[in-house]
Amino acid sequence: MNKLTSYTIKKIHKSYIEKILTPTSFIDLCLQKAKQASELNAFVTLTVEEAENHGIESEKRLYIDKNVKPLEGISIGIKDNFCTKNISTTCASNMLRNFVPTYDATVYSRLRQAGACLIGKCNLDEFAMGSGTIDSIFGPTRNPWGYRKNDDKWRIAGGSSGGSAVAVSSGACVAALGSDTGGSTRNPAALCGVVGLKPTYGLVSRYGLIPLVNSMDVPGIIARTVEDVTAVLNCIAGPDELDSTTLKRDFNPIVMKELDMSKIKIGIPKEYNCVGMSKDVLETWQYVTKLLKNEKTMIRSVSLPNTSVSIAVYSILNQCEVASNMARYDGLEYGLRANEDYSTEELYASSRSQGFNNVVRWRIFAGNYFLLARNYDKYFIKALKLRRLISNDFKNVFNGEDSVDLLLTPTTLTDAPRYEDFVSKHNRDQCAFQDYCTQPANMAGIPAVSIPVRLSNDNLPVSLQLMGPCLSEDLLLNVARKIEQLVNFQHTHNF
Amino acid sequence: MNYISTIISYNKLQIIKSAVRNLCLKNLSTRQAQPIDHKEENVRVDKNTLALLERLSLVKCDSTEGLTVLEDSIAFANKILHINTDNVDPLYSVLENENVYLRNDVVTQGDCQKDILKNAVLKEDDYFVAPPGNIPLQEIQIDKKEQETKS
Repeated sequence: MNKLTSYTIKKIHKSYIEKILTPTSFIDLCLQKAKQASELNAFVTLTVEEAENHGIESEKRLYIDKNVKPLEGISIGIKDNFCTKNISTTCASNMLRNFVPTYDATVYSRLRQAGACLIGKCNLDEFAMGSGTIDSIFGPTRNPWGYRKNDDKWRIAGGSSGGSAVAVSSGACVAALGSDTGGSTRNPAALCGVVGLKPTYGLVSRYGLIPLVNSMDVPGIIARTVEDVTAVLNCIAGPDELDSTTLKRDFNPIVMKELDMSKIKIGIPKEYNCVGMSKDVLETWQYVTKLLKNEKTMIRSVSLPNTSVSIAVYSILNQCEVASNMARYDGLEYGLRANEDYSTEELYASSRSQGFNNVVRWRIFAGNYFLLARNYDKYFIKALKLRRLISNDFKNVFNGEDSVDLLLTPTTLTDAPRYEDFVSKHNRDQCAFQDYCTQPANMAGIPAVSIPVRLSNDNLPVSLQLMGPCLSEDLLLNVARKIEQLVNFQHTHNF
Repeated sequence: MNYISTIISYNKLQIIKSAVRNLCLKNLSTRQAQPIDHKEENVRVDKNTLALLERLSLVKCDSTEGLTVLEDSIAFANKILHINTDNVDPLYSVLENENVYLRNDVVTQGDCQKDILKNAVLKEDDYFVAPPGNIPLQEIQIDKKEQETKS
């Protein structure tokens, strides 16, 4: 093994057993990599001390107790909107700049129980509101693809989990957790050439994930291979007493297996081909469809008629839930407290104005407008009704006559935009464009995975998305792995 | 109620399906879905509404840009209003058909006063500290303006 980006969990464990590598030496390599790639700005906090301690613990379990846990000695990054006990958790916002949680998010404690080692907390758009990882108080995250030192023509990482995607893409971590409300895990994974999974709503606990949109948020998983994503999912999925919205049935770990592709029916939803989609993306979509046809997979054109309004419906629901969720930040119990003592309301208003960036404040405003007594039915209830129609679109193609097992679509409309082009647009316009293909899955609560396929004309990754019905992760990930084998994507950037 | 709308959308689906069944992917490039355009309509939010939103949000909208963004968000949202949703129930949660249970009403956590107070900037003994309440925000802003004009 020569390059960090070629390390998979299986290979690492094999090397541990053959003692070509040890957990402490591997974690050290990962930390070095993270420091060496610091100009990409993937991390808000590098947890050097924790990483070294976790590595030592893994080494002891491995060589003294002879007990190999599923993620033993595996380096991970966690998006900085998951609570980690005694490790600052900022949401990339001034509001939480000094916030140190006193408890762990369930997903993090499960990763630790599985033997994983924390390298650091990853950068994001403030409170995960964005699709570029450019709106962070710690500055934007840069995409390793096409990156040259001292060149201001760099590409964005996508978002809002851009730090997590870059941590994995650059080799600093084997896997990372993001969160996915409208595509925030799949979008940066797609632009950075790694695999990104949004699980079924309720399959993975949200306890300790600082909420954005409660009815759509899910923890997401990013890794370089489908198999590694699956290994992480197997460790974190399943019911959690601390999150009442987790599904109360046992989760059966997913096993990677050879599939008879001729028995799989894949739908191509025609509404996902929208204005603004680049030629590279369209051709990549056709390319994989052809590869699947060669495998005798049944390919069928299908229709999800409400797709084009989904983004506007999503935008209303997002802003309404944001307005409600952000009400908790008042500066009294935790978070930024302004220097005001005239009245409680004055303190609240000043703290919130100083603590939130414009994007957050404006979403709160719009959300409260839609929630006004006179607008509640007109916008909020209307959007929830349309949400049912969007969700029914999926039910119709996955059930009923002429049903398909999975859907194949692009993840993003283009490859990674240049930073200067991206910031010339407003946050809402950025999201309305970038989330077009990803947010419908959140509206319906269904699982979706983004897989890198090949490089665009500008030598940037182009990825496709597979979606399936609720709790179809087993089929979804096995078909994703098949596509991964067929396209054989290579991590060829300079990091 | 849903039954009817399901039948209608199902029938529509069948028509579309039979129309596109034999289309190959190449045709996709000529039939692109149009993302909704949101720039046509002019929406105005009056001063009273803005003041109300500021009070409800407890955030100051101290720029004209903020107002423009709000009006633009409303214009974008208005694009869904014409769609027929008669006899469709709102979808509040995708877990509506799941049995999401309630836990027993027993104490499972406690003795964490230190933890809870740990992240507060100001505290006195074992309490959070807040300035005087019951003074609405608008009043303060008017007071301040008066003071400014006096001085």
